[in-house]
Amino acid sequence: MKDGIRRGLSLILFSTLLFLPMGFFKVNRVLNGSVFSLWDFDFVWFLVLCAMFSTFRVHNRFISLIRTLFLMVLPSILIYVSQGYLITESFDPNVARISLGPSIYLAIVGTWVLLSTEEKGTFKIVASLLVLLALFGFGAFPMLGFYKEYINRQTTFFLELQRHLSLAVSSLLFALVPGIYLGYQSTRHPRLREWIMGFVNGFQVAPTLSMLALLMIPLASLGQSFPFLRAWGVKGVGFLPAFIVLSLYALLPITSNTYTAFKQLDPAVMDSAKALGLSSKQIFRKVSFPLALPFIITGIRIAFIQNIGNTILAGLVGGGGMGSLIFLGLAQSATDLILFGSLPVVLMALGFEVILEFTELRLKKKMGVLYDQA
Amino acid sequence: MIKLSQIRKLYDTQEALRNVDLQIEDGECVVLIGPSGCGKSSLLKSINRMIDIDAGTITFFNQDIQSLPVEQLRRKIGYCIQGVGLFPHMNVKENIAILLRILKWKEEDMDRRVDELLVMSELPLSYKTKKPHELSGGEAQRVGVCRALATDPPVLLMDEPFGALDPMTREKIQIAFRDIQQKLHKTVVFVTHDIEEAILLGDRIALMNEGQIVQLSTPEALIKDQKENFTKSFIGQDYPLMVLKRYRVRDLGLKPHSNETVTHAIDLNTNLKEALALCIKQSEPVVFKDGQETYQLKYSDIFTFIRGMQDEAAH
Repeated sequence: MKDGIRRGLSLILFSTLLFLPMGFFKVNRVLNGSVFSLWDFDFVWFLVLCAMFSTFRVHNRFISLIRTLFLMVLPSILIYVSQGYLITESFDPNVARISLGPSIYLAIVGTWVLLSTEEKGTFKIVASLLVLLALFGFGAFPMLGFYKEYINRQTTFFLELQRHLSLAVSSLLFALVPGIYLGYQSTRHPRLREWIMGFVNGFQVAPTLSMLALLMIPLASLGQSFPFLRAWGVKGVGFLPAFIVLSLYALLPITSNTYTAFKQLDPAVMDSAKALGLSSKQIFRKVSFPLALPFIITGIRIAFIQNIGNTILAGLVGGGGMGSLIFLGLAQSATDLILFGSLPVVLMALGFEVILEFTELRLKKKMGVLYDQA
Repeated sequence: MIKLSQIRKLYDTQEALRNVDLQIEDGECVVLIGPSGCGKSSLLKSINRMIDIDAGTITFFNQDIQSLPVEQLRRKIGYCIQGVGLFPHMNVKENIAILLRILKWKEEDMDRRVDELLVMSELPLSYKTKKPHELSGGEAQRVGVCRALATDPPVLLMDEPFGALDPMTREKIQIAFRDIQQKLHKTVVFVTHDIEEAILLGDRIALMNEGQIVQLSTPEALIKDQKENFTKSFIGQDYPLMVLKRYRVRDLGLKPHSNETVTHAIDLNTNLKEALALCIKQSEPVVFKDGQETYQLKYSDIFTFIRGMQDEAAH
């Protein structure tokens, strides 16, 4: 996207603060709140004006530095000032709360769009996000419904986060070796490939939820018939069914990417390795595996990101993770709790995506396989 | 010495090689040439068992190649192909030394050998740390030849190695390769579809068509002795002129002249085709300097030389 278009887009996004709700005031957790907007505050319009002005191009280095700093803290400031609405009302500060409204979300997106036009934009976006998270962690937004949920469930939150990650990672690790092995075998035996790809595709096509339900029956009966299995955790609910389903889902990206990784190797390179008199083991170790590795890692990345999202479903079968918070929020129709469960998942997925993609790029450059894509 | 007898190769029902016999002497360069699909590449690849033949025997220094472990056989045979096939994740040194590393050479021996090969192929030593994608096509091909020669194998197989290069680079690398070959005296089997390349590099040319060797003779003998219609149409009417490229002014055995005004900037290493072109363009004689001596060259010198060459080929 061109810079001009991005500037225009963020101007529009900022201007939504003028007419869309900024947030909702709730007297307690469940009751529907009353809407408030920019015009319920005395001086916030000035802030919005500043934001809108900052979308214009400046050439002065000092001014643009000020602008960058302003944009990096703008999301935090917007959320901070929206808490001020509470002061004008009589309320019980322990239960009353603020939920953020659409215009604040849109303005935050606008900030990031605008930051992306600058040099090292991604870095600045991450920095503004970190500022927000840090302020949240230090308790700068005490009236936010989101924060109240966090205080109420601080221990559960970190426990579930840890369970979420360990479930996503362990199921991925479990799928790693079989996935790579199946992918490698499909390149060597074209006829086997049909079977292998059919097998791993089958899991991908079946809806995750129905897979969980299908697994419940055999696992439950296994656990009931064999007490020692039950002692090991073989049950229709809990960690195991979620683990199995996630592993099966992680197979396809790993297998198919491994297959392509070995398939796309330059035949001239493979031929010369063979003709030099390298044994097939040496060819695998020194040539084909190192060259395929970056593309295998692509598969692992896709599987991992997909796993982080899918692990939410583990909450349905008592497997824990952020899913249990989200489904609790859904059951209690507590919007903030739902957000509280899902936002960390989104952030985790994005964060790992960025980190892994960077690793991949480095590896591809090192292996000298990037130049034909550039 | 490599001896191929009664080689047959089938692809499905298509006969790619039909009872081919060929004997390659030590230190000679045999060029296999012919139209696409004539089986020249298949014949070459059967020697290092990159493809397996359906009938016939190949002996490599009096040993049946089927009786040798395939890795052992391939390590005695250097192999260069059109795509070069350098390992993109290794630098130039690692590429050249890959087999040496597998054979557990000492680090300093390996270094010395790599330097030696780079010097021989006229590449700067600083290239050792470069990655293949940083090299030009010609440089990559030179590195490919170095890699093939790393363990000093007695035999080289080359499958259209210079086919993808631009004409300027190709000619340079052809001449460089000819000079290397004159120094090392490897037994070379070279596949090409470029008749000029065949003339320049081959001691003998094996002309192939439809899975058979139609004619096998020296480039000079081919001027007069064209056994089949196919030969005539394939090598073309201007073939005798192309043969001139094999020779240099030096081969004419000119005697130094004195007190001449130098008219042209050529020397004894200029090939005869270019020299003849100069004679045509300028009024003869062409007077040039090589080192301290001055020489003069006339049409008649070249004609006499060709006649002598043909007589020699006839006997």
